[in-house]
Order: sequence, then structure tokens, then C-alpha cells
Amino acid sequence: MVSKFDILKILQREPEKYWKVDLFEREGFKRKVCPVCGRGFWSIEERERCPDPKCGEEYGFIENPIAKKMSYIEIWKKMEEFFVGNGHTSIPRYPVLARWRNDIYYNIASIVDFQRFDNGVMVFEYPANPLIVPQVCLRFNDILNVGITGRHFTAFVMPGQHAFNYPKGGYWKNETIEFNFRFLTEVLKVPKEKLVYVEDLWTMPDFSALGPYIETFSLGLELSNSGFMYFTWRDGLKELPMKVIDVGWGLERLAWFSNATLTAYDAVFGDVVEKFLKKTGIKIDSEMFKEYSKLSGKLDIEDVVDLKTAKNGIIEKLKIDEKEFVEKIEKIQAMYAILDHTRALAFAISDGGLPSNSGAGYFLRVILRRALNLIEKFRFNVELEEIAIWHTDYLRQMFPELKESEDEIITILKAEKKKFEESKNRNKRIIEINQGKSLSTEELVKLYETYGISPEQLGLESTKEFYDILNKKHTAPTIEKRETIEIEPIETAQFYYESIFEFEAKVLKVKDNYVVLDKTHFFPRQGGQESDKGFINDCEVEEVVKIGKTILHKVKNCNLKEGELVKCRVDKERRIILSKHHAATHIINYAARKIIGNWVWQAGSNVDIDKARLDITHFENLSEEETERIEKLSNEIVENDLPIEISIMSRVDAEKKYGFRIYQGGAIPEKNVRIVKIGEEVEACSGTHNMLKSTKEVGKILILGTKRIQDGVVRIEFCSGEVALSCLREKEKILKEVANKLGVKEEEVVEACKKLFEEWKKERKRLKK
Amino acid sequence: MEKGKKEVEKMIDEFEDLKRKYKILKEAAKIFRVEDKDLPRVVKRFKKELEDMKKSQPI
Repeated sequence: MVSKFDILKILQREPEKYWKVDLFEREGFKRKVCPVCGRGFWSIEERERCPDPKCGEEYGFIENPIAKKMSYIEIWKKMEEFFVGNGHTSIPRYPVLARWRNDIYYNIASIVDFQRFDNGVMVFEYPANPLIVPQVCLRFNDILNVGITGRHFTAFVMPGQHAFNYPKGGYWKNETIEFNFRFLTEVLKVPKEKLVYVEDLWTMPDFSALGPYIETFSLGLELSNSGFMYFTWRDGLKELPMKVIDVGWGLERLAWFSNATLTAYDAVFGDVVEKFLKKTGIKIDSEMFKEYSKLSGKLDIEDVVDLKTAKNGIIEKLKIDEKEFVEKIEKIQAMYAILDHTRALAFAISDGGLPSNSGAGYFLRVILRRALNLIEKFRFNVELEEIAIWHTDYLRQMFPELKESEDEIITILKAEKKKFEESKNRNKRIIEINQGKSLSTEELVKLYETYGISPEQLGLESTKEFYDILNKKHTAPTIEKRETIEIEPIETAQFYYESIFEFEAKVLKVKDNYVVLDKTHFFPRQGGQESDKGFINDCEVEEVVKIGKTILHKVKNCNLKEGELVKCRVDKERRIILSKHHAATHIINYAARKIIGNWVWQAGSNVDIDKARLDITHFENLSEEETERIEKLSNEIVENDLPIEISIMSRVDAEKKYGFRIYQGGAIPEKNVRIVKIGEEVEACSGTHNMLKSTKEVGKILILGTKRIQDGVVRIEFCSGEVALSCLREKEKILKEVANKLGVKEEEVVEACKKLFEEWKKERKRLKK
Repeated sequence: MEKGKKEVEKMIDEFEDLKRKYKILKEAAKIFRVEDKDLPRVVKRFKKELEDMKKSQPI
């Protein structure tokens, strides 16, 4: 098995071929090899080692500015201007929750915006070429470092500079480093002698794409990474036909470098730090913090596993006692962590994220509760909601969508705080029992996962191991194992979007009760919609499933023979009901989002004939009033007779036109998507929506009930059209029966029930006396 | 599969009328804190208990 190190060694045999660019020669950059890490680096100034702090370099820019001073937002504006002026298209950021991918929850790098899967193979789909994007990313593998090291964030902006499809389009190494050099020297005004380019290797974890990597450093700080997707590894290096440039800039780092502040947070959070200090009345001891910053710059929990020892070392070097450390250093660290976590939450909630105890919401709740614990620990008189507003105010020029989502951010943060308080009260006894105990990391994880009790609530500090275990369990979705039927793959011609219910076909394969035809009009179970039923000759079709490109018809008492010509009949009535219920699912999803809030996403659905269900993301069960409003709005959509439109388009065009809400049912693993537009609701969907022309055909929608099925997920059960009518007729029968029993008219039942109940209570009271 | 517009209108009217009745049923069920399907049985039981209690003397 080849390793990253092995591949790097191969490329290092020809450094001039893989890393050298024209600019290095023109500007006088000379190559050397770092004696510490063994990597090559290019610099104008004479130096022995590479500039990576891991090889001994110290941050030389803190309180020693060498770049033009610009604010965080100004740097992005200038960067956008520079790249647009140099042939790039500036595109808006993608969401921080990577809904277009089913293998990750969060957007962890700008290149993720353009990575898609096409039948299991990763492909790039991009709206422009070349382009620049201010991508907000979320990473939760460094939570403990946030606030402490001065440079770690859970949410950060990675301006992505990308060029695709070289040599047919885009550009390659020379242009990449040229842009890099020109932006840094012309716009940021960094003296070219202070730039160092370090050689490394860029690779996908499975080596499906890899290539040279050039890191740009200045005074010990890494400002950008330029990855060149050049090869794939298949028993050796094989050149990729389509090459991709993946440059990730660090906006937080550029701002820190430009402002030369003690921590990156001071440069990144703008006036939010000042507002926090003013509100809480805490003060920064600049001299002390400066000394601390010099030491913290080298801190990284990844390397310094024993946090306590590291902390004691710092206390010793600062010549202070623990109490002073808590007051002058830890309080400030906590402030930075709270500011970072709140900013991450604001982005996530604005993009439809919801904290919860599972899935994509898991780490949102982890950081939210960490922030609340820190506020409580240091008795800061500040609420997360007001910090969120400070952030949205500061970032409104760059990310106006945050300001637009302010109400939702506040609602969710308040609801989560309430849940946190309730959980604390509920778990008081468990907290008391465990306080002061020496608990293993596994026990702490168990307490957190079972009761939501964090180590901090027990008076302990979270450790790296604690977060590592949570990370392992919750950073990526678990791929559900699907039922498999062992049958050789045979492509079935699929015609189920044509409204034909009787057809002839040839039996290609029979295995047990499963039949494969050469073509079919039977709709297989997919996209939450149950399958068609019907007959193949006289054999009853009870289920239809799709495995790859093969459609399997499960039949009762199978007497069909391979090669036989058969007559098939699809149960049309069943199909119509399924289609109506499926369209109602889209309508209710839209109505719920409008009535409840933008955090409402489809978490699951099942469309059957007796009823359908839609699971939505929401932090509490729906009230009766909310349910009624959702039903009312849904029925208004039905009555408005809006057209149901279906179109096939490329994923990239669909995303551009309709945004990422199209992925309500999850990521689509194919290049083209089937877009279903019902009024304002647009979703990528494989359902049989072609059966209906407009919403009126769905028939009136009846919500049968709602319930909270898990933390953050509410189930809505409903039916529509004739099914709703027949359900209501049943209810009418019950009402009639009650009216008869009470001897009143239907309209008088409520009053009669009240009277009966009151009399019953009165009589019981009398007897008890 | 598509019903005429008139028929759809008729269905909508029927739906509204039945929905109104369903609301009455739900409200009545709430009084006894039971599901609507159980209401006839519960009403019958309460009526019977009331009659029995009326016949009985205090404990």
C-alpha cells in the first residue's frame, strides 16, 4: 500500500518539473531543502530551514506589520477585485452544510463546492472557470484549540481560487503562483523577499487525485495552499486527463498577518471583541497577553496532548499564579472561543442547520453548549443571541444573508439555551453523583451522549481524546446498508414516467420471486415513494425495487419463464394516490418552512396509499395552531391550482437556478437531476409527479397528526384527495355515533360532552363525600 | 384519472364540511382526553357510570 510519503519521494526526484514555476527564476527564488522536514522550499532571502513553525520558525509578524493594513472584509473585497480583474468570476459562497454530498456533513474546504459524485466517481461541476469564492468552512477537529492558540477557528473563510479542466480550460502552475505572488506583493504589499514557497504533496485520501502542493509562507505564517491535481495513483502515477487548480487562501490568516495583532481573533472579529469587552466589563492585560501570545503561538493541542502540563509550563514562564492565569488569560481565551462558536452557529443556522444530538446538527450543539458553559463558568453577562447580532452586523457587507436570517438565528439560539437549562435541571442528580469523580474519557463520552452532560458541567475540562471520540462518531454520515438481492445486473428499459398502465414485455430473468423484464412501466420504490403494484400475466406484483439499472418485480406465486412474452398491468388507482400524496409531501414541506422557519428541511419521508409522512427538522413538536396554519397554507396552494412542472437539467444549472434546497431528499449521485417545481417549492425528485398537472389535482390535504420522533425531528402524517375524504367520512361516522349516544345534533356534541363530563365529576364528588 | 373541475369543486365543498365536523369530534375528544376514535366508547362508559352513580348512595 502506497503512502503519501512514498509519492512525495517520487515527485521529489524531479522538483524542477513538479514545483518550479517561471516566476521563481524571474524573481530570484532559489531552492533549498529543509534539514528538519526534508521538503524543498523557494526563497529570495538566504535561509537554512523552511518557514514552517514545525521546523522552528516563529511568528515574526505579530506587532511587526509588513503588509498593508486592511480589515477582514476589506481584504476579501480587494482579493475579489484582484481576481475578477484577472479573468476570474466571483461566485457567492456555498452553504456550510454540504447538502450536495452524502459522505460529509460540513463544507470543509472551498473545493468541496465543486465536488460531486457521478455513479460513484468523483467529478467536478463548476458554474464558472476560473473562479473565486469566499467559502465559509466548518471544521470541528480543533475545538479545544479555539481561543487558546490565537489562530484556530471552527468557522473560517477559505477564499477558493479554482481553475478546472486544464489544458482545455483554466490555467496551470505558472499562472497560479503568478496570481499568488502578485496579490500578495501588489495588493497586500508584502515585500517579495519575505515570501517563501514550500513544496509538498496534495492528495485525496484514496489517492484518486494528487499532485504537487505549494504552500505560501511569510514570517512563519502560512497564507495559502496551492494544490495541483495532476495524477491519480493506479499502481503508479497516471496523469489525469483533466487537471484542476485548488488554491485555498486563509482569510483569517491574511487579516491577522495584515493587522499584526496578538491573535487572529482580534483581526477577524472586528468590533465584536470590543463589544464583548464593553458588555462584560472584562479587560485585556495587553502586556501579559502579549507574553502569553508568544507562547500560545506554538501551542497546538494536537501536539501538546497534556493540556494541564502545557498550561503549567506557561504559568511558570509568565511568572504568575493559577488564579491570575484564569483571570487574565483563560477569561480572554474563553471570550475568543465564545465569539468563534457563535459565528459558526450563525453561519450554520443561516444555512438551515439545526443543533441536535445526531447528524449534521451534532457538532453545532457541541459548540453551542461549550459556549454556554464558558459563559456560565466565567459569569459573563452576555447572551449568545446578542453576540450573534454583533457578528451579523459586522459581516453584513460580506455576507448579507446572515443579517437576513437574524430572527431565525435568535429563535434557535434561544430554544437551544432553554433545552440546555432543562437538561441541566433534569440531570441535576446525575451531575451531583458524578461531580468530583475520576471518570475515564469513555465514561465522559457516555454521559455526554446519553444525558448531554459535558465534562465542564462536572467541573472537569474536556480533553482532546473526548473530542476525538465524538469526532470519529459524528463527523460523517453513516451510509445505510441497503437490502441487496443477488442477481446479475441487467439493464431494464424504464418507462415509468410515461402514463401507460398496460404493456407487453419479455422476461429476461427469474430468480426466486423476482422477475426482470426487458422494459417496465412499474415505478420502483424510490425517493420515499412506495412502488407500484399490479400484475404480470396472472402473477400479482407486490413490490418493485431498483438496484442500479435493474428493476426487480417481486411477484406472488411466480410461474413466469425466462424468454416468455408477458402482459403487464400497473394498478393505476394506486399510482394516482401515491402521486397525489407525493405532491402533498412537497407542498407540506414548503408550507412548514414558511410557517415555522428556514431551518425546516426534509429529514425523511414515506409516501404510501393510506397516508404519507414527512419528517422535518424542527426543535420542538408542532403546536395545534402551527399544524392548522401549515394545513391551511398547503390547501391554499392546492386551491391556487399551481402548475406541477418537471424538467431534467444538469446539477450545476439546477443549483445555480434554484439553490441547494433542491436536495431535500439528499444528494443526487448523477450528473443530471429531475427537477420538480410545485409553486415555489423546487426539489430534485424521482417521484411520479408527471401524473398530475397542477396542485388542484392533489386534492385537499388533511394533516392527521404530528409528533416529535427524535431530537430535532418532527413527523407530520397526512393524506389528500379521496383518501382524505374517506378518512373524514370515517370521522363523520364516529361523530354521528357520539351524537346518537348523547341524543343531540352533531353541532351540539361538544357542549353535550362538556355537560356529561361536568355532571360525572359532580356526581363522583358527591359520592366521595 | 383526472376528474372534471365540477367534481373537484364538489369534493372541496365536501372536504370543508367534513373538516368542520372533524374539528367538533376532536374538540369533544379533548374534553375526555382520549383519541377521537375512542370517543363513542368513552361517552358510553361515562354515561353508564353517571347513571350508576346517580342511583348510588354516598360512600
